[in-house]
Amino acid sequence: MNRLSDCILVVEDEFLIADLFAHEIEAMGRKVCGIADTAQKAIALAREHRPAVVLMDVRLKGIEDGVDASIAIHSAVGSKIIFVTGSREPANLKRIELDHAAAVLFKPLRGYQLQAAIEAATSPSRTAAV
Amino acid sequence: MSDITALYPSVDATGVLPDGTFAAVVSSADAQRRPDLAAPPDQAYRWIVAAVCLYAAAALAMLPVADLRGPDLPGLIPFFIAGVLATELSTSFLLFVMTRGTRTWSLLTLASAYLFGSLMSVFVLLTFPGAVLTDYIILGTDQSSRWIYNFWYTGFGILVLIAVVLEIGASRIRARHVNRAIGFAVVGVLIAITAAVSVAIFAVDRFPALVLGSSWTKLDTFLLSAQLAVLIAGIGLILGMLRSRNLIFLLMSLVLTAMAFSQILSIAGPGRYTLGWTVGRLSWFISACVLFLFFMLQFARQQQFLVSSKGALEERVASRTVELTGAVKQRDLLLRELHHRVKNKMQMVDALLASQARYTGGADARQGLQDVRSRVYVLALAHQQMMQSGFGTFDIAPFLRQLTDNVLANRAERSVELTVEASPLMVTIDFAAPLGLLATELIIDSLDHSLPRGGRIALALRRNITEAVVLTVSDNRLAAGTEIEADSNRAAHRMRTIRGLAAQLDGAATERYSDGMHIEIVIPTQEASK
Repeated sequence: MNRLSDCILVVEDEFLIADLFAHEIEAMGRKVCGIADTAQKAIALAREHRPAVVLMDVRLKGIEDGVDASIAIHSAVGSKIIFVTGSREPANLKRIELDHAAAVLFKPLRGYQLQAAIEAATSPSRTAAV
Repeated sequence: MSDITALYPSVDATGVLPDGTFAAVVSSADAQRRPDLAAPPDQAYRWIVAAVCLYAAAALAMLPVADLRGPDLPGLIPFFIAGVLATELSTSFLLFVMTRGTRTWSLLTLASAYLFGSLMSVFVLLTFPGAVLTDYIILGTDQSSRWIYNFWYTGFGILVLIAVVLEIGASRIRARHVNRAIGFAVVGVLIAITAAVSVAIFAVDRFPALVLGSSWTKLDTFLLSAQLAVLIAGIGLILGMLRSRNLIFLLMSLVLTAMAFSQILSIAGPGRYTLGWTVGRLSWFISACVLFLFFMLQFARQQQFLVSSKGALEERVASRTVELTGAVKQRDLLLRELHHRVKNKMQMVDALLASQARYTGGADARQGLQDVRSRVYVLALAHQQMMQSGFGTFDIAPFLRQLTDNVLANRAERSVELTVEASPLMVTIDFAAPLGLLATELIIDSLDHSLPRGGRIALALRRNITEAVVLTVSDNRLAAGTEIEADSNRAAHRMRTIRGLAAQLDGAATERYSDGMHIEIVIPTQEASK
């Protein structure tokens, strides 16, 4: 785990939202190691950059969703996963539970909420509950 | 439907009986599934004609032996009368009930004929020598019984003939007159019976004799022949003109045939206790049973039909329920999907504004864009809260806290201390959204004024003694004026927005300066969770 890099991977298929998250992450003085809009790209980027945190949208382009990507990334890389979703569908939340989520954030998401979740996920002592 | 129309000519095209019997259960789909209620009309007609012919043939075959004298059987009379009374009285009742549905004069007359026949039979019994008490006549004389018998036979025959003629004419009773017509018919029958019986008992001495010993007189034979002619006319009219138009009348041809048969044998065996007379009584009893048996059969079929219809209906209700439940689930899913998309779009609007703000030069313009983000966020947050509450009401206190935090986060001033004091209050989105925008506007207004170092803004939401919702925003701005505002247009626009939103909630805004600005908005309660 100590071989993880200190950057954050943004997985989101709406460019504008991904761009906003990237700017907010940079505004808090952290590095964005990539933006992915499909599960496959997310897994490839995670393997390449080994991010400490992945900001993961549940719905993605393509067949696989954010939960599929998270399970793969968690086992292959070991990054902390922060889910971002607009849906409170029980089925959706149940799928998220399958994975070891560091936090689940709901849209509309504010910069300070994102910051709190990332700080909690990167401090080794506790897990976030936002 | 063809079978029902055969039974009741007045059934309309939808298969509903005039009296509504089948209205609830018959539909074209069910009709195809259920078993036939009766044979098709043409087939029924052929069967009846065959039965009539057989009966006539049997009568002719019996003629040579009709005058054989048998033993005296006065005990046969109570048996015969009881059978006729029970079946004909029941048939009469059922025909009256049917009349209320079909509203035909013919059926009303037929019902009256059966009522007349059944009640008259009682008086035949009471006057028949030796029928009840041996060697003793309860009412009148020996002649009374025979006269009552003749009145009975004549009355029944003529009423049936009238009914057949009326059925050919097919005239209807007006709906609102049906009950009255039935009442008149019953009263009329009772009067006729009283008159006939009174005459036969009290004035019988003035009439010629009909029976001598146990043999009929010539006059009696003449009367029997006249009655026979009426019966045969009835049979002829039914089979020749009505044919299979109405199953009840078709069956009446069988009834009349059985009666005619008894009449022929009565004439041929001219007197009581001949073979012809005894078989004639039995035949008459059979005739009295025809419609009664038909109604019982009809009842059995309707019961069976009801059972199968009920099953079919339950099946349809069950499958329709499954369909509707599925449709509702689908609709529910679509609705939630739509709201999910609304939230995503809200986030995108926010992203667009944020992106624009980042690359906007002037600090004032950038701040303006950030404030718009705060206002858009109110709508997104209200939507999210509504979704979370399952489209119901939600507590406004945490909602206010989140949105005021957000206004501050979108501002550069980190030195301002913002306190929110909100009592719990369950509200709908229609109340929360304008109230949230109002709170946002008031806080932005405070932030736009020069607050001293350690600036304070206090937002409070509480209920006053009249249960009205009171929103107050107080700050410690240095002056009441708008000295920091770039132009007074902006201040005017903001106050217009504040007053407009307050008015939308049926509330009123008041402002007061005292070591800072205190703006109070009072909103009547009923707006809160409507």
